[in-house]
Amino acid sequence: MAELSKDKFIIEGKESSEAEAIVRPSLTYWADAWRRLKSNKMAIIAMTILIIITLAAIFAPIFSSYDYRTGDLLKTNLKPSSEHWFGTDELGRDLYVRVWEGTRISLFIGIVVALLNFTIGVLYGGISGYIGGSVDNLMMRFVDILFSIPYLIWVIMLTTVLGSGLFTIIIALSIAGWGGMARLVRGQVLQLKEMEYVMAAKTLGADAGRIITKHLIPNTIGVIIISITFAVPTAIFSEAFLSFIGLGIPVPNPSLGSLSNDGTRMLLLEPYQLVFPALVISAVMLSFQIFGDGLRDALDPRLRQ
Amino acid sequence: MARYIVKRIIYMIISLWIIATVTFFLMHQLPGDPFSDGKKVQPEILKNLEAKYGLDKPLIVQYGTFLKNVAKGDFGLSLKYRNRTVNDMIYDGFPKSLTLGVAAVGIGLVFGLAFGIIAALNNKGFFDYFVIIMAVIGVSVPNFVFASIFQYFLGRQWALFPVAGWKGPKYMILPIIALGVRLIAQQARMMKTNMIEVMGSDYVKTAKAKGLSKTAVVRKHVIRNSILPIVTMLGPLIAGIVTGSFVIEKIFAIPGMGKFFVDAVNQYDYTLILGTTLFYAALLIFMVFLVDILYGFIDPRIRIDE
Repeated sequence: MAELSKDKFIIEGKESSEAEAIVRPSLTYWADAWRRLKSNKMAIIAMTILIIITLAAIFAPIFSSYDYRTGDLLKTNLKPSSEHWFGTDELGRDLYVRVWEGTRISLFIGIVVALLNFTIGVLYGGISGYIGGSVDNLMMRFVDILFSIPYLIWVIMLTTVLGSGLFTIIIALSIAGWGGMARLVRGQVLQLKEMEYVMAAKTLGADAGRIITKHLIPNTIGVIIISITFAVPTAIFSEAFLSFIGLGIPVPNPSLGSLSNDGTRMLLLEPYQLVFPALVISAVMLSFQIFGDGLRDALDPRLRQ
Repeated sequence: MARYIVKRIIYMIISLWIIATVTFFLMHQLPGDPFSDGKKVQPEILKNLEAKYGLDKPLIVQYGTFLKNVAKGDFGLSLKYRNRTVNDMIYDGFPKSLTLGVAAVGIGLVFGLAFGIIAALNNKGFFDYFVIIMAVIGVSVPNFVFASIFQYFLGRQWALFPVAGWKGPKYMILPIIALGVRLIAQQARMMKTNMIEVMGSDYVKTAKAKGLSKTAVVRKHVIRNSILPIVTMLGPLIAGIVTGSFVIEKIFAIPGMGKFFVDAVNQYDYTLILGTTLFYAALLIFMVFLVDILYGFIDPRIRIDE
């Protein structure tokens, strides 16, 4: 029998010493979410449309030679042409500039209201859920009663009292709209604070501030971002509704809602006046909806429908 | 169950009282007054008018009378429409809005559920994608856009239906569809999601395993269980219909509750705003209550008493 020596053997494949090495780079939560979002074509298209609309809303009024407030009374109700891309309204104002200025105002309202709702809701819901017990019960009862009034009726009441203007509308929509966010955050906090890792942090001596900022908020942030995404179109839609019943942004400032309202009045005579604002508002709502769905799948795959 | 119902009724009364109080004091903060119409009114006349409507008394006294009357179901006189009571106007406008709302919920449920079921059975097929796209459009396009499109094409261009007004069944079709589109979209989407979820559950597998036909499985197990969560959504859904009808009533010039409410808001008609708001709030709170109770009966798994 031939002698077996060590040099007759070679190690094939991996060194066992490297088996435990992490080859792929570790992804943070955000990188992982972005990777999932990128693979969702519809969501990316929606996001692109939103970016384009936002850029147009910011820059189109700046680079146009027309002013959204002043019209030319000799050129009223013109059909779309190379001079006035979207035509002119009954006061001879250029609709192209007005539509983008309106988009700018509507988006501004939507985003600011969503952020305000988020701030109030997170504070209220977070405190209520974290303290728990009878304080939580009382705080949530208050929310239940307050928000048993239908949202839009609330908004109407508040705008009638505060008067209609950009900031009063934002305030009214924020006061009326934070209930859902508060409930959501409270539910999340109640669920999370029973988790073992929170208990572990407590045992190690972490104070309330650290637990909230380091454990509770990072773990709820996905759900919160998703609901902010859906809050923006809701606010835009509510503003449109207010404009529609005559409580919106005061003239001559346009918003997508007031432009659509003007458009429906002129619908039977000059339908194009409704087409452009209606198209933009529908595109904004549609994109937010699709992007929000995509974001939900990306940030919180458990919720995938 | 009885204890739960009593508890809920007490909460309902507290909610309504708070809503009544908040609206009352908010209304009295309103700028402008309902009598002047922008013109100058003689101080004596203004005084007489204020005395007639009790606006000269201290606020707290007005509040007391208001609460007493509301408890009796009397919302008082309209300030703008002389000599008409708010109750009268609700009595006048509400049936129209109700017809509109019930019909819209009706077509919303029938078509929405049907589309949802077909889409779920045809999962990832052509019809499924069609329904999903339609549903997303239906949810995101504002209903005044739909209303205007219908009005323009079906009403004016093709003259199939009257453009506006409220003089008979023919006038109702466009507003009902315009109000119902969003509902159809929402319901279809939700029904499809529920169905897919239920079809993956163990009891459906069991039913298939014991050899039930596909139709029996779908009819007896899948659809029944998928409809349940939709019942819980009915409360908020009706709230959406109510406020949605403001816009629809305005576009189609229907003299319903929504139109009165919008007019009242624009004309500072305190009593009418107060009356209609309370009426709406009461209606909605009651609907949500009803739906919750109903749900307890439909789904025995829900234990309400907790």
